[in-house]
Amino acid sequence: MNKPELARLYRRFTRGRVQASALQQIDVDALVALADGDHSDQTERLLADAGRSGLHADMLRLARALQPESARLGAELERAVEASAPQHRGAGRSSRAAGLPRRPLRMVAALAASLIAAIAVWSFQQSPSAPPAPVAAVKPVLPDRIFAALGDEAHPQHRSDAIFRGSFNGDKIFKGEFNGG
Amino acid sequence: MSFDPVLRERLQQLLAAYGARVRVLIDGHGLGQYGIDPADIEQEVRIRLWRALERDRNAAFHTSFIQRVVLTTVIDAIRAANARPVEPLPEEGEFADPAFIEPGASPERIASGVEDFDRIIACMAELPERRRKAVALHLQGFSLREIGEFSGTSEEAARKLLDRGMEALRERLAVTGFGDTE
Repeated sequence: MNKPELARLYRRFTRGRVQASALQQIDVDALVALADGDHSDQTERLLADAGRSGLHADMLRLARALQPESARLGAELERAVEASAPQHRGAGRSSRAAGLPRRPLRMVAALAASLIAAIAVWSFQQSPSAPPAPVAAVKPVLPDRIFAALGDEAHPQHRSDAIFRGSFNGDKIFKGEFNGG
Repeated sequence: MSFDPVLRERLQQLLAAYGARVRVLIDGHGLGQYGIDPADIEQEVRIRLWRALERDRNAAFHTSFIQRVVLTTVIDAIRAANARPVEPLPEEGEFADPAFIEPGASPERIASGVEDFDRIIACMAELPERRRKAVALHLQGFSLREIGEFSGTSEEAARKLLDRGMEALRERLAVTGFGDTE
């Protein structure tokens, strides 16, 4: 038997009906790596399988043949997307131009927003010099100890000076009974 | 998510052209023998790549990603075409049961082929591992350059391994009377 017959026989008997387990054990990542010339334990196993399994050998051959085509497709897709990007920007400009009649509304909205922002800033700046909190104003005044001692602590804060009370008798020296003597 | 109409048309053109090339490759590599339809593979590859494009609109597809999409599609299709209970994968040095491989062949041819194939396997098993691997890949149709790249050696080193391996294999086969029946 010559060499071609040997190879033909070998290929014929390593192909044919595919075993489910062989399909499950095909490592796609290893196929791609081996087709790319990478070497690892996984690629070594796959290489051994490719030697004794026609399916593995055919898949490896396909992976290798796919490489330049896939690289070309990847580059073409990238170029197509990049080429479309300026068109998208142009489309954006045209849509903005189409929106020109609504410009006054946008200006009013912008002015209103600016006004609100200015008020907010002004309010914030004014807050440190604002009058003190009314807590101090409503704080009850403690009664004077002198009057408290006199037993008038019921309404101490409204107590007027005793000198202006109606019971003020004045200095007797200026009274009418002064006889000039 | 949708593309700009012009970009969409361009991307679909690219995928259609790639799908057609994939179909040619599948036909050219004889993968139809595994029960798959290259036209179905072409269509499925286009669908899967389009979905991937819709997910990643930058279309920054690495070569290996595109390869994986195609290979996975092919494997899925072969699985679907050959759905049957799981059988163990042959161990190192073992091969699929030849009795199932060529159902159209005559019993005599099958018997003769099986016997010759068994002799080849037995003789190959006696070769040193590196030579055996080179011989097996050569018999599977890989070139010297491919064998060198896959094995991490130069083409010249692969040629030496193959020459010595094939010489040893022929000697062993001659001792067993290989080919006397043909």
